[in-house]
Amino acid sequence: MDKKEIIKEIMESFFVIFTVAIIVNGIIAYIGDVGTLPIRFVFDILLLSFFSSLAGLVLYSKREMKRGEMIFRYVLHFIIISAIALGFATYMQWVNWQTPSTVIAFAIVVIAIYITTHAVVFIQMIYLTGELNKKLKERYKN
Amino acid sequence: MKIVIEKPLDGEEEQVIVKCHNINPELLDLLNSLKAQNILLIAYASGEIHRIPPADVLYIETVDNKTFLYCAHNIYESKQKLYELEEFNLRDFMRVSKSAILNLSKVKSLVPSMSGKIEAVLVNGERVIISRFYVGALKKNLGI
Repeated sequence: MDKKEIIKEIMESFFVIFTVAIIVNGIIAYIGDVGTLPIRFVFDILLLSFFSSLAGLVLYSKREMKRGEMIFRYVLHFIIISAIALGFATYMQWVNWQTPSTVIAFAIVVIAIYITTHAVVFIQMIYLTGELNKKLKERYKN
Repeated sequence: MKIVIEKPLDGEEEQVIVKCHNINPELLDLLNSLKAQNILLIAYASGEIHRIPPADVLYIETVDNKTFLYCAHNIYESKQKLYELEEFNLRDFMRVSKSAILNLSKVKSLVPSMSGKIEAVLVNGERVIISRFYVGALKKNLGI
């Protein structure tokens, strides 16, 4: 995968993380009856999404990866994402380490965003394979 | 482009003559695929040497430094390395992973797999992994 492709994927992942994070937090705010969220919150999420999407660099390799290495990189990716998110949440005072329930709730949100983001990627792959199958059928229809 | 087909004289060899002002990549691809039509892959099975038309091969894979040609009913071993076979620029064939070259004309469907990989389901039901690394090339090959 060349640099251009990696930058494109990182950008895509940035927008997916940002959108999913806003939606998940919006739902939680609605269910939890938080009321209104300050505009600053959007910029905080923007920053968090940027650093989280950069963490995606650990998933890229110049050579093809074996299954084990891929799993290791995904685990490492999740750890980095969690560390970034929790570090950011602590800095922004979204969580209070004296109250473990806030940390647990935040960790659940991070996991939910992580799973949703990967589900979105998988759905994109379903769409892509659909397109590829169409092209394949067109080429070999005879 | 004008296409002229002429009957050769008795005893004359069949040939393709290209008259062009310059050789562009499209023309080069066309010439390569014409050349590839005549290629037969030399492979071995049960101590016998076989000459296999590329169109009969589903995919080519390297296992433990040995190269195998997988056909619908037989598996043959080739003495050539994967990259050497790749250099033939065989029509419909493309590298899909570090260890495999796939004949796209033998693919029944493509299904998504985990971690950005795609699985190619072949006409005989076998599955070949298209690694994430080569998905871009596949998209380009199929015109996406």
